[in-house]
Amino acid sequence: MVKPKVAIFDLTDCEGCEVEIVNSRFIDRILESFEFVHFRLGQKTNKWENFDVAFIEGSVITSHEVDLVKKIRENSKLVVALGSCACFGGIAALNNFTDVNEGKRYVYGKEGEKIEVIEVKPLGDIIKVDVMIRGCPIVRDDFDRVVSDLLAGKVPKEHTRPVCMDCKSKGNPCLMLKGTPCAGPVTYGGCGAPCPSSSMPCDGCRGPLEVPEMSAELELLKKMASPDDIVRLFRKYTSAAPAFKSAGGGK
Amino acid sequence: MENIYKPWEAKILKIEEQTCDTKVFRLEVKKFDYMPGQFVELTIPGVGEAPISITSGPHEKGYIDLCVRKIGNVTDALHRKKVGDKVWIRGPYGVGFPFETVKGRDILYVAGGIGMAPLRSSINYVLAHKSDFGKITILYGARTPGDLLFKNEFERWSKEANFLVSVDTDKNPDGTLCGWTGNVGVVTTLFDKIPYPIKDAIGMVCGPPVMYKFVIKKCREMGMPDSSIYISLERNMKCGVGKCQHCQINNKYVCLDGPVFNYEEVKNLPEAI
Amino acid sequence: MSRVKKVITVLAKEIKKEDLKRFFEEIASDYTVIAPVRKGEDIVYAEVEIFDDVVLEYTTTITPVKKFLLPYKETMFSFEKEKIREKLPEENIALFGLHICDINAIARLDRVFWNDPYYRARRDNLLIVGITCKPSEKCFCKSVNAHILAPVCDVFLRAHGNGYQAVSFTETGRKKLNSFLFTQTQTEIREIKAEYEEGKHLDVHKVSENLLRNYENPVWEETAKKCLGCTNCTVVCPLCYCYDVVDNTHVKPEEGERVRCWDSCFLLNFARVAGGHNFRKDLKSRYRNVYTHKFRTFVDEFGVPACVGCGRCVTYCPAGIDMRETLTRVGGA
Repeated sequence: MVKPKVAIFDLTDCEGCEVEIVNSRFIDRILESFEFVHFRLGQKTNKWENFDVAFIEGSVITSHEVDLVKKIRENSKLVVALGSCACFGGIAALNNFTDVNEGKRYVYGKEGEKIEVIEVKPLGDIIKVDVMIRGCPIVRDDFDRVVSDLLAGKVPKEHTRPVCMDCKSKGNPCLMLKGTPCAGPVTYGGCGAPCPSSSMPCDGCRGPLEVPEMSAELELLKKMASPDDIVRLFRKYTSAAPAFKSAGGGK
Repeated sequence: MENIYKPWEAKILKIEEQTCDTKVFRLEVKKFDYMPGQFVELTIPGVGEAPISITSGPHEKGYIDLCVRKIGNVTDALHRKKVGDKVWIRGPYGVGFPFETVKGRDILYVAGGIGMAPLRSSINYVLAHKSDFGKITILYGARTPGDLLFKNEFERWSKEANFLVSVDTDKNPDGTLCGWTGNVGVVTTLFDKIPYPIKDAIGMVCGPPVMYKFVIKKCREMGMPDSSIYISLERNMKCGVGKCQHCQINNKYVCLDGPVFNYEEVKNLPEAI
Repeated sequence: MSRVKKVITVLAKEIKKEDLKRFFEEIASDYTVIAPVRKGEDIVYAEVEIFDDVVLEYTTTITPVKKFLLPYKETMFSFEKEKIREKLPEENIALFGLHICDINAIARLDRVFWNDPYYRARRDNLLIVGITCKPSEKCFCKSVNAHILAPVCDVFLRAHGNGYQAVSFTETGRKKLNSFLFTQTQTEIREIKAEYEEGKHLDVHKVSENLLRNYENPVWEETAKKCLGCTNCTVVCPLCYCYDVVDNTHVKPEEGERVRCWDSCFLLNFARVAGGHNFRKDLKSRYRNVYTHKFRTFVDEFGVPACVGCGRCVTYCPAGIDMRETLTRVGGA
C-alpha cells in the first residue's frame, strides 16, 4: 500500500506540539504508516510535493507566513491546524491587544521599525482548515485519534464537551464554587482537565465551545473577579477566537 | 447472558447505485423477520455504528436491502465496500408502519428525498398484497431529477398504484434546464393532482424534518383525521434499545416507540415535529 | 426484571464501632473496596486500602458511585481484522459506606441496565454496604420516594448507640453478617429510612403530570440564561446515565475497539442528526429535557423519577441553579 504523504510545518511557535507528536504512544506505528516528506524539526531532508496531510503548527504573524500557509494549502489534500497557535492565534495573538510599535521599539530599539507584524488570526481565517487539534500543547491522544481516523477513512470528530465534563468526571471540586475564576465551562474539553485537577483554573487553551454560554459565564465571573481579571482569563492562548476575543468587553 | 449490543456478520450480496451519493446494499440474512419502517444498527468495525432503515419488504426472504446515502463516517465507509465484503448488523429495531391493522384501507404514501427508503419497504409489501388494500397513492418528491431513488421501479409503481413524482427544481446548478418534463414543485403540490378523494386513506409519511408540518397540513386539508397519519421520525440514535437517551423526545423513544408514530400520538408532543 | 419488591422484616445484628475496621478488612480481602474519602475539603468515592481513610460520617460526595458500574469510558468490543470480540468486565467491587439515596440510585439504574451485559457483569459481583446518612438542607430524597432503602443493599449499618445495627436484604449480605464480629439481637427491622426534615418538599407526582403542560413556562428560559451548559449536574447525578458510542482505532485501521463513554443531554450535539439538523439546538430546550427525562420519561418507563434527591446537582452547580426551585415553578410545590 502506498503510504500517505505527510508534512509538518511550524510557523511562529515553541514546537511543543511537535514534541507531543514524537511522544505519541503509537509513534512506531505512525512512522510505519506515513511517509514524512516534510518535517523540519524531525528530519534532515525535506521535500515540497503534494501532501496528503499537512499539519501546521504555530501562529501566522508575518505576510511571509501568510504566503507560506497558502502555498501549503494549495499543495495539500487535507490541512490540520496543530495546537492553539494555529487554531486560535496562540500567545502571539496577544499582539492584537497591545501597541505593537511600542513593543518593537522597546525590544529591538530602532531596528524594530523594520519588523513587520500583522494582526494574528486563526489559521482558519486565512486558509481552509479541515481539522483542528486543539490545546497548548496538543494532547498526544488527540493527534493519535486524528491520524487513526484518517487512516480508517473517517472524518475526524471530537466528542464536543466542556472542560467541566472532564474535570467533574475526575471527581474534582469546582474551582468556581470556591471563588476561583475558571474558563472550563466555555472551553472545549478532551484534555482531561489537567489544570483544574491541579487546582489551577482552566485558561481556555483549547478554545471556546461551538456555542459557549459566554453571557452566563461572564455573569458568574463578575461575582469573583475584576473586569481586568476576566479579560486576562480569556487572553492567553486563544484570544483570536471570536468568543474569547470579546469576552469581558476589555480593550 | 446475550449481549444486546453485539452485531453479527452479514455478507454484501449486491450493490446498486441509485444516485451519485446513494446506493442500495443487499445483505444476506438467514432468519430475519421485520416490518416495513423498522431499522437495523449497521457496524463497520473501527468506523462506527449507524441506524439504517430497511428498504426491502418483509415478503422478500434471505436478504435485506438497505438504501444508504453518504452522509457520515459509517455511510461513507459502507459506500467503499464491495460485493462479497462483510458488514455487521443487529436488529431489527423499533415500531414500523402498520400493515395488518390497515388492511382494506386506501393508502397514501408521501416520501421526501431519502425518506423513500423506509417507505419503499411498505409500498412493495403492500403492493405484494394488493388485493387486501384499497387505492394506493404514492407521492414522491426529491430535490432534483438526479436525486430520485428507485427509478427502475417507477414504471411498476405507476402501473400498480397512482404514482406521482415531483422535483423541487428542474434546473442544473448553472441555471440551465436539465430536461425534466415532469412535475416541478415541493411534494405537497402533488396532493392537488390526486384524482379521487383521499380523506379515508391511511397516510404514511417519511422525509426530511422540515417536510412534516407541510404534509400534515395538506393531509388535514384533504380531510384526513390525525389518527390516520403515520410518520417516521429521524433522530440521533446510538444504542437502538432505549438506553443511551439520544433519540428521546420527551416521554417517547424513537428507537423503541418509533421511528414510526401515529400522528395523533405525537402531535402534542413538544419537539417531535 | 427478577427483583420483586416485598416487605421484608429482618432481625438486626450489632457491631461495635471499633470492630468496623475488621469488618472492612474482611471485605477488602475479597473485593476492591470503594469508599468515601477526603479530597481537600470535599468527599469523594475512591479505592481504599486502609480503613482509617474511610470517612464514615459525611453529607455527600462530589461524584456518585455510577462510575464504578458505568465507567466514564469502557470498551464494549475489540476489533481485530474481521473479528469482533466482546470485552466483559471482571471486577469484584465493594461499595462501602453508601447512603440510602445512592443505594436507591443503584436500584433505579438496575431497572435500566439489568439486560446490559457490561453493567450486569459488574453488578452481579457487587457488594453494597450502606451506612446512616447525615442529611443537609439540600437533600430531598423524601420528595422523590428515595428515602426508604431498596432491598438491593447487601449490608446496611445503621448508627445505633456506640456502634451499628447491621441488617441485610440479600443472600451475599447475610453471609457477610455471619462473621463473628456481629452479634444477633431481637430487634425487628421492617424498613430503613432517612430521618430528617427536608429543606424544601416537592410533589414529584404533580411535577410529572405538569411537565409536558409547562413547556412554555418562563422558568426554562430564565434558568437557561443562568445555566453554563457545563454538564456538572449531569456528571454528579447518580441517575444521569446517557452515553455515546464511538469506534476507535490505533493508527492501524484493522485494530480497534468500540468504546462507550458518558454523554450529557446538555451538550449541543446530543440531538443532532447526521444531516446536521439539531432537534434541541438552544440551551433552553436542553435544560428542559433534563427535567422531562428525569421526572416524566423515566417515570413513565419505571414508575419512579430518575432522581433520588441526593442534592448533588444543587450543591455542585457553579451557577447556583437549584433544581428544586425549577421543579417548584412547574407546579411541584
